Amino acid sequence: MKTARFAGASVIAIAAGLGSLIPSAASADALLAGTITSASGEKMGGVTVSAKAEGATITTSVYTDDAGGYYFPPLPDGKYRVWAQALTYHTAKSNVDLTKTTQQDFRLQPMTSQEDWVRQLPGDEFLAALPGDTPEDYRMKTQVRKNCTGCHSASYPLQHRFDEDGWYKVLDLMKMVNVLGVYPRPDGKPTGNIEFHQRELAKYLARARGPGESSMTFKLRPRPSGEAARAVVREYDFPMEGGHHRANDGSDWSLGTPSEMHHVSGVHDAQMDFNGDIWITYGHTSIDTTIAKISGKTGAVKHFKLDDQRGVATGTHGITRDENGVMWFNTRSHVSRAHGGLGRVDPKDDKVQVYLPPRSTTGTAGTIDADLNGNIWVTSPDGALRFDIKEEKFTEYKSVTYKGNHGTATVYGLAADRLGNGWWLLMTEDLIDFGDAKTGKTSEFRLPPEKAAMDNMSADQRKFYETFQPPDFNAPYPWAQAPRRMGADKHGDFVYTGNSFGGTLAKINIHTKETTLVPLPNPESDQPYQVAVDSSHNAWTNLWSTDKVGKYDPAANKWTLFDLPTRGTESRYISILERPGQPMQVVVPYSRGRKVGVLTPRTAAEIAALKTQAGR
Amino acid sequence: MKGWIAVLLVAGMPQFALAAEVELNDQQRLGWRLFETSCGVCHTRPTLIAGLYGPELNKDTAGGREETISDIVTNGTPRMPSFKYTYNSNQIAAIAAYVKTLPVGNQALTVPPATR
Repeated sequence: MKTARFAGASVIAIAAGLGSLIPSAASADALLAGTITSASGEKMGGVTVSAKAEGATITTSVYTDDAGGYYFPPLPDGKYRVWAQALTYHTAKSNVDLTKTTQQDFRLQPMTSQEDWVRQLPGDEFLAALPGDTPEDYRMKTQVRKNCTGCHSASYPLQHRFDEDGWYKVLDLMKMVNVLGVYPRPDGKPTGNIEFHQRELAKYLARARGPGESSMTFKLRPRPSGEAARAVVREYDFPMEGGHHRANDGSDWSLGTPSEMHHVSGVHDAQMDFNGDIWITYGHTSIDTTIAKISGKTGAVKHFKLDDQRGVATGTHGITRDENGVMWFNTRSHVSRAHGGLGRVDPKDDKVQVYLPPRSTTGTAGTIDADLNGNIWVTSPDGALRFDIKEEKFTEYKSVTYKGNHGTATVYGLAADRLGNGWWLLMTEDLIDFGDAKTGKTSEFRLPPEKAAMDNMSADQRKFYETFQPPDFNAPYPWAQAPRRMGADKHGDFVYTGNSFGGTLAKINIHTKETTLVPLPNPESDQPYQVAVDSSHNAWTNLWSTDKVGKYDPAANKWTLFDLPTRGTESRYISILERPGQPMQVVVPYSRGRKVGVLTPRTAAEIAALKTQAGR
Repeated sequence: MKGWIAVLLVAGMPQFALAAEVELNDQQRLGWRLFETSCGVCHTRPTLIAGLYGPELNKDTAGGREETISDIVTNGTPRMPSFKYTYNSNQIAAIAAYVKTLPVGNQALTVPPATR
């Protein structure tokens, strides 16, 4: 299949001088440590402690151990803002001039008003607290955790209180917004299932978050401990464009979950290259960014712009790293509108090329992965394309199902397994498609529905959903598992899908297609998105509607949940970098938060060494 | 503590906007944050090319009368919910004070629509 190729991109903005504002990490040896206690003097474990140097764009966060102690990794010298946070406690703040090892203790004061600490909560706590004991409440809770969280964390709207009339008006807007958060919907029609449930849902939300006594019951989850409390998270700010600023970047939980409006949302996927720099894709319309590189050491940002026909930057979505460290990303409208391309950038020279699939295909869509045989797999609107890097040749794989009684089955996630076969997800219909690289044939199977939600449907609901056509993949059926995105164990025999609305991972044997649904620790409120599998076979997933990352150890059948330090992250991707002799880096871009988090696990021995070094 | 915000002043050029720094007092700064959290979803563009659900808000909104803006935020309109269960009167006054700092044209489209 013939391939058109285009080269060149304008590097239109470099954060010149930013690096000079941030001390080099290479010269750092100062340690920051301390103890967190409650007002009554009790040592507090699992408290999030964050530090950000003046003028810097990197925030580093750690968590206290069971004895209330926290230990930062060596930080560059500088004047730091340091703050400590725990749910139901006021944020404690201090300034530290870090030129030598420093101890900074905090005493946290409890909040006395529930309305104050409710604003601090991440999305999963809101979902868990919603009433669902009666069939009617369970139906509406299902709508909130599937329909509403299809687009945003529950913590964003539910930090507000409206009466029934007010919630009804909010839903008037929501039913006219599409999957990209854009008003009005391009088809000009309301989203059918929001409109169908609108009156009942407004009443339910007013009982939960209205003027009267709330129907919600909060049972807050324990703070991080053990492995989760040993992690360190570095968060890189991605600069606002067009002179915009924002009042709340989510780093102070007491200010609530921030909005994604005002050109905040946009950072979509991220991969770390072999030099430790982070490459992001930009999903919304931008003046200056198609992709960007963030320096892992300084946080300085280099923007890359491919020109769209309107003069703005070409949009993109997914990015992957091949075995040689080269980055590959989809382009939405570069060169040819409505016929997506495949971008390539080598971190060694930062040169960008775009390959355009033949017109006989539908072009590329938004998700992408590299196999181990020299191919890039990327979704297309009706299936997937495999690009042979050496031959510069595309091969097309069509979904078994495309258009049916319920409309177009939208393709979203994709992965290439260890053997070089492609897998992709038709999220709206819970379908998994498999492209056999040897035969070129495609097969398909469906995930089982969420039985409890299906069994609880009313007669009216059943009738409505018989003919319902989801306008996009965030207007789901009540029983939807919603496999959004996926990852392959490149050292094993499984691929995993993140079933966003079912609260499960599907663990699929790549030989037999045998599928096991692995429930998240809290399936009604933990919503996985992408999956990345490390070399020890652990499946990492970003819980996009809350501020957490999950790690599933299949050998022990055990989950570990890690807190992210920012409120309103809404991460839509997760990736991993493992290099010989270096700690694993788990990269989590924040779509709502406009940051990229890099989580590094630490061992108990590493913490003990820091403790000794800090003289504690 | 005083803060500042850069707001966009559209200068008739399709892709370029001039940023102007406006110093905010404490009340306006609080209003800025609450506006971002609760008002922007309808009164600002989610992306450079998206439509607006509600009207642009600026210093001339409601005839430039802060009390009228506060009344609308408190009681809502036929298309807008009442915010009196979310925010107290001081917070609503802060939102109104912030709206008074916004220039006319702050939500004008700066990118031409797609031609396809």
